Amino acid sequence: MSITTENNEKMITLMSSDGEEFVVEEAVAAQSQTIKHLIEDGCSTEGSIPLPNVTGRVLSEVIQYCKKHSSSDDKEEKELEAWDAEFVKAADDHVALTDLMMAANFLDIKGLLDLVAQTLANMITGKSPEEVRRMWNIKNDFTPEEAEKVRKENQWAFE
Amino acid sequence: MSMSMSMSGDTNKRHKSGLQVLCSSSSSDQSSSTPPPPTIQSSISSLFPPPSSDLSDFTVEDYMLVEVFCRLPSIQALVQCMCVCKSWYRIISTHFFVRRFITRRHINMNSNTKEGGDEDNIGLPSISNYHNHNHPLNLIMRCTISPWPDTEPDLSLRCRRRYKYVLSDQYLPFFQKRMGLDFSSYLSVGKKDDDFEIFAASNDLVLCTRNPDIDGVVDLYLCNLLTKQWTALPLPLVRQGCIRIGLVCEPLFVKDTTGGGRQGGAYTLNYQYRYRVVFVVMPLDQRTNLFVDIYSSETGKWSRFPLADVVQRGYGLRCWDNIVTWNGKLHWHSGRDIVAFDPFDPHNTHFIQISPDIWNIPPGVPYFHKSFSVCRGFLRFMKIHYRKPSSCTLMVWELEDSRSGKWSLKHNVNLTSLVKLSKNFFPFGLPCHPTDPNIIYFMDDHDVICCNLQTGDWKSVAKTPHNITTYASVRIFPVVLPPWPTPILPVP
Repeated sequence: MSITTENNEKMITLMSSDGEEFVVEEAVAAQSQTIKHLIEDGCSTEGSIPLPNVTGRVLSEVIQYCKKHSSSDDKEEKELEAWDAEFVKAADDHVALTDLMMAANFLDIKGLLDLVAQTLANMITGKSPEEVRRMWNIKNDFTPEEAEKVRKENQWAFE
Repeated sequence: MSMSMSMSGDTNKRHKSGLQVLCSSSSSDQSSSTPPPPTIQSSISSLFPPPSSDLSDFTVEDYMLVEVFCRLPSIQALVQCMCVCKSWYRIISTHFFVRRFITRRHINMNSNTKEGGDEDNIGLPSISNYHNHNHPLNLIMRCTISPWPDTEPDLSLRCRRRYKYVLSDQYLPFFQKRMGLDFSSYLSVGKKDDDFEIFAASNDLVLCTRNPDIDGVVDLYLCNLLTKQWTALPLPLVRQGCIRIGLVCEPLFVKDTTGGGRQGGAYTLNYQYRYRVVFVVMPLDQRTNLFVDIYSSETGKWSRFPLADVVQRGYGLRCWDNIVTWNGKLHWHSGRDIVAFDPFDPHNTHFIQISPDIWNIPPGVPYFHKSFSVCRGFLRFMKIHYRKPSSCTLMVWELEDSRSGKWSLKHNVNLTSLVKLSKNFFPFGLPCHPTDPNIIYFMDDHDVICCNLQTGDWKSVAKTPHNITTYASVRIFPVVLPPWPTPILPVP
């Protein structure tokens, strides 16, 4: 369904996998290359755009990001960086960040993908394998022999 | 200051057993039986995966992890992640991942608009605020101290030298941590008091020997300073005399022509990667001809090439000139022009003109320094003229066209107007920064000074134990850590 606002901004509706609907300006939604292409292909003129891979919770975060980034211009780079930092801090949990990253990947929003991937990379940098496992709840599935072999092969990285 | 490597004495006295092939291990037991040469798998390991592209079982989550791992700041962090679990290990040891990782590094290194200093933060941390340093540079400085006075009648004693490697915590945090100041502990061979001598460096590889003083080159090792992999190379044909040594490696990464598509400008591992060790044996008199001995990584053998057929102009290499690797060739000044020696195809050797106006030292300049180095893929020539007490000119030329020998003057500054030089100053320049054309390094007394010629900022980034002029010789080996560790190929 196509709605127009007072300043003649075209609105489109995005529907999450759990049926939640979000009405956003087209310029905001077009931050996503995937949605942009859908709009260009005329898929949004009737009804809403279904996004079967993105839950409402994640989609609302993605829209927050897109709104901020479509309204800011290059001059506000510093401010935008600070906003980005706060934005990922709010989702400071690797599960939430991973969901966000998957959404950014599916929706093809390069800036968001970069931001989240870098945040996740920063989280594991400087941590020992044991610390990383604990932090992200990963099971060590190496057998003792395999672990020893991998460790020996890469001893140099631990000194 | 002599920069030669002179050796004398009886080669055959020791180490008659010849070559020991030793692969990377933590064992320091030298007497243990010689292990078999490493296979390509064991020596190259998971960090050099085969180019198969079996990604059929990659999930979306795996691709997301690829994106995360690509953004890790160092190879160390990456390798630590390999040890977390099997699936992480599998992802990182795919060719797909390595390609993504090195391509990202190349893009970052070549972009001037990098956001922060988070990439490759292992080099020169103390000057990282000067500019974007996406490409770490470390320098190993070998200072030679002669423990015997020049009046010592026994020549073999006089030629015995003690090597000191300068690895200050600011300058080489990486190697100090890895090797300490003791090379023998790093190589896990030899006695504690063994001297190790570095002959050449190329990216993260060094070519070195132990006890070079009396016996000439008794053994030869190629080591990766990062991964600590190493191998012993067959002994060279000539082990003593006036030898200059070069190490020429083909690029480990090549533009990916198979990938295509949206990964435009992608890089991939060069599976045909090979290297050459070159011993340039200088004539002791006018009658002897200059020749080179070349070790080939494909054949595992040394071969001799008479350079006199090619290098007729000039006298060849003089011992005080530095020899620099650029574009896969060794370069040195022959006295008239620059010899560009191609160890992969010696007959392809050619000459690069350098005007006498650039090369020569004008009359009345008592102290000077000349050296070649490479910056952003360009050959550079640096010259320092020092007239006491307040005139010190530093000039840097860059080769614009090697066919016509066109050099362009990039810097021409009076150092004394930029830097407060000490009264013990002696002109000695270090290799240029590999990526930042405005950053130069030089010695002043005990200090290694890093100076940004554009902004005028300068600071001491390292100290040597002694004044630079007290050393019998000084040689500098730039170590540029590449985006991916160079494997040590097994000796065929």
